[in-house]
Amino acid sequence: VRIGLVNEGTYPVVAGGVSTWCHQLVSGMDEHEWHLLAITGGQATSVWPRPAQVASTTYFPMWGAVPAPPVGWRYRSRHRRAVVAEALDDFWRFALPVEPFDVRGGARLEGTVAALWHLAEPHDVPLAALLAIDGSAPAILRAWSGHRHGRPHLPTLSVADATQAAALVDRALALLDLPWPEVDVVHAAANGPAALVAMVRSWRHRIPMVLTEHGVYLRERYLAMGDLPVSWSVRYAVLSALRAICTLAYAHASLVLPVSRFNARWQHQLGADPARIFTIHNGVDGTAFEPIDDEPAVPTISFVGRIDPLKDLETLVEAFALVRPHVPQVRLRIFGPCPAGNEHYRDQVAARASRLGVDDALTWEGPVDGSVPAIRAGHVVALSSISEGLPFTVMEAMFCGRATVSTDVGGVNEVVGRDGTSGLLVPPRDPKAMAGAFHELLVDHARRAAMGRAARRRALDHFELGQCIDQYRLAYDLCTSSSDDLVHDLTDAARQPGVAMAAAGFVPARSPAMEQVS
Amino acid sequence: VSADSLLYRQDQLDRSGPRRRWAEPGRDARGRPVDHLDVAARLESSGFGDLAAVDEGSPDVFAYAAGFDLAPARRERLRETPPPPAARSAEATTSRWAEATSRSVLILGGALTFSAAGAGGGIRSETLLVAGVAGWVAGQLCGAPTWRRRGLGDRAGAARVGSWLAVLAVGLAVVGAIIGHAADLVVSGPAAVALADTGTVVTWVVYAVAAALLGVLGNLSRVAGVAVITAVVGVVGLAIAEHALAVGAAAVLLAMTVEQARRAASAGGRQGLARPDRADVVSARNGAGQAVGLAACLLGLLVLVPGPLRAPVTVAAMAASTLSEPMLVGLGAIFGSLARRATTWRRVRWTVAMVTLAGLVVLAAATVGLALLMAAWLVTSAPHAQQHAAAAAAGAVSVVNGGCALAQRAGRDRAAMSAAVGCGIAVVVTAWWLPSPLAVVLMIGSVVATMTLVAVRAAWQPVNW
Repeated sequence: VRIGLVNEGTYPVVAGGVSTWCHQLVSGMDEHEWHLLAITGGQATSVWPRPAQVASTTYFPMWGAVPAPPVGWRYRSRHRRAVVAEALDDFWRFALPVEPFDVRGGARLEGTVAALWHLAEPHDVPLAALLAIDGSAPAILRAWSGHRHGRPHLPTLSVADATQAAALVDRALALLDLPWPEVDVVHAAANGPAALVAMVRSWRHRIPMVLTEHGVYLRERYLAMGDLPVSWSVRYAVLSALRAICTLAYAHASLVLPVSRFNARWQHQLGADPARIFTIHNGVDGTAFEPIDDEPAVPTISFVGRIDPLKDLETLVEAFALVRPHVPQVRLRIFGPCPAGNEHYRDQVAARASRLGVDDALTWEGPVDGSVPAIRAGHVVALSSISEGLPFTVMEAMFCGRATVSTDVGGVNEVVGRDGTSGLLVPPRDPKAMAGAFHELLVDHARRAAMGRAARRRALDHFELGQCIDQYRLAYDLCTSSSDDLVHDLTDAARQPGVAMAAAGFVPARSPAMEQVS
Repeated sequence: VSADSLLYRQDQLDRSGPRRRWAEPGRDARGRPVDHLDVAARLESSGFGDLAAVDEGSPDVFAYAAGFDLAPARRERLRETPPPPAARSAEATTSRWAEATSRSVLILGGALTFSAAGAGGGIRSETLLVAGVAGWVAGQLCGAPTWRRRGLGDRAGAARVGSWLAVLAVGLAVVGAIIGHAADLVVSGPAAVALADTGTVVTWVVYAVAAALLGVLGNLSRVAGVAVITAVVGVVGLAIAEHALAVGAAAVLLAMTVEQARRAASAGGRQGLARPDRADVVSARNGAGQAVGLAACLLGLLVLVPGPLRAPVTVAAMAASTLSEPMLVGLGAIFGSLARRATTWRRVRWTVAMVTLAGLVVLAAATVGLALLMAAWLVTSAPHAQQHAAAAAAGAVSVVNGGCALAQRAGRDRAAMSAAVGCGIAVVVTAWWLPSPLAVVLMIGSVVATMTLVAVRAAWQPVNW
């Protein structure tokens, strides 16, 4: 099977994170032929060794220079420009509708499919060059005007705002007509631009599309856009467009494969059919995390992760201060780098520890090579985050057979379970609860050892890399074995409003293995 | 619950117990949420998950977020929440004005210094002309790719590419001047004059290249300081007409540029490109091609103007080049302000077109006025027809120069180069082979119309607003 793996800003141009997952996936399935499509900021060099099964790597520099149009483009693209302008109008009318936005709004979804279909039509004048002329700005202004009806709180949208919003969104739309090799299955490793490219390929070649999200793309964009120096109206317009793209991808994907059920909540909220959502947890190479039997000489709590407000180290320090009167020799060792800009936060936590009188028992260990030294350093491994996806550090501690105390955020409970045998969960921002859990484990060696054994068993059962790869293998098999049933004729759907779109009736057969992981 | 609580009620939330401390300090920098999913994302990222929502009586965080009222309590509040673009924009505009003015003064001061040195040192006018054109082309050759890279945020790469091209440009100037004057020496002239001519061309090229690089790479205070010193040196040079002054000015500027380029290149570590890539070469070609076209245009127009009036037209051309930098900043400020206020596309476009036309008219009027004043001062008894010719030439030069600068700054450097080369060919052909009054009038009209169209089309690009 020829699989097209589309990702944005990760594999193979950067190391770590999602890139590691991509590399594991590609390396683990040498029976398939892989075609990589990397949407990058401009990089076009791989930092990973190329597995033999990778047949091609195509780089899409999303933020690179706009290609110069060919000579005579103005005359040759007269009709094309009119089609593009109309398609942009349709797209933005869906993103900024007159009526309330409905993630499952069938008629508008059809309109968007038609708009994207027309934008993606191959032409000798690249779409990027056409979008660089006027782009979406006029369409945004027209759509905004209609969208404001019934929303009196919305401010006016200036031409500068529309231009700025268009500059951000058009870079994604410009990817639609880029050529890349033919494949049998297209797998988007993220929603947003990667899913957009995958969707268009799926419609055009009538192939199934698989969508995996490590973080929820739209959720992350909501948070990231808030930090951009743009006006509220620009954020509103851009996020509306991204929401439209993401909801469309969820509606169209044959399989939506989140890495945690926590992410699946968002996907369901954004219109993904629950029958097509299957959670496949990330896998860890267990051979790199052998069980650790020895423990430090003095009772120690260890933490490994970057120094960041989202890790809520203040709660960790407060919990440590609460447990110390009951376990006087206890120490807290914090491993991990302090990213630039977070020095103030580290100082704040250190000052808090000083005020609580525990600074003499707290050590900042700095960056470490891998998590094993940090896991080995503690009787208990702590995670105090207020926001997490599927934390690898907890998984790795479990592989090493260490007891863990974690806050119940994101997908953490999916890793350690809720029954308290493989690790303890406490509410976020609750130092008393966390201190209670620390005390319970630090004073009870037998309990700690039993938890470590249970944790390793659970990790081997659920988070082994081979298992994870097998589940993706099964997903591809599902898609390709009955591909005629999977994908509707979207060409007709795009051209005939009213026709059901995007495989809306498709429900893939569930295998027992899929049932197990979902 | 009002969404304002996400932004303005953190203290109250912080005091209400551990579970409620979900509004993270500093999160208010994100401004008002755009919808309920945005609220949910912020809540989750600050630790308020489904469990906390259940405690608050909602089934999950999405349902809890849906309870937020996103409508602003007061319209003033909504105006507060976006980042303050006005303040930053005003600051940036002031900086751009200062930068553009500094660059203009840098070129103008250099031109004054070298003109004075030429007059005092007995340098032939032909040599000054060759030096001017060579410096113009070399400056654009180095400046265009350096500017492009700086615009992409690659300051280190800009310094490295600029340095490579500067070495190339100066090398070519040295070789060209030696060959040119060696040939000249064989035919006529004493060796000392030829040597002085060679030195003048090379020195002016060095100055032009250094000024182009420093104008792009230098920080504002440094460029402004150098510009003021150069202008003073130029004015003093006019009084004492000393050739060594020009060499000294070029040497000092070169040293400062080398130091600035070295600092900029090393600031980026080893990430910047060591050598120019294809896009740099294309950019250099477009910049140099544009300078060649403009120079041909100017030379052709000078041929059409009677001898005594060539100096005023040359000065007018220099003035147009100097004034076009502030003009671009002024147009940019007007476009930006218009785009921030207007809500309809058509209105902005037409106003931009009109403002661009007005800008070119003002530029042309200023240079024509200057040319006529100079003509009245230098040539007391020029007939009206000759004065009209000088005025037309000055106007055409200013429009061609201003239009090209606008198109280049708008990122349409290929269009600028094509237009400049086309105009140069038209002017040269008319000047040497079709010097009839009708042909000249038609040529000037078409050149002005073409460059105006190029400028308006460039200004129409939304990226310039």
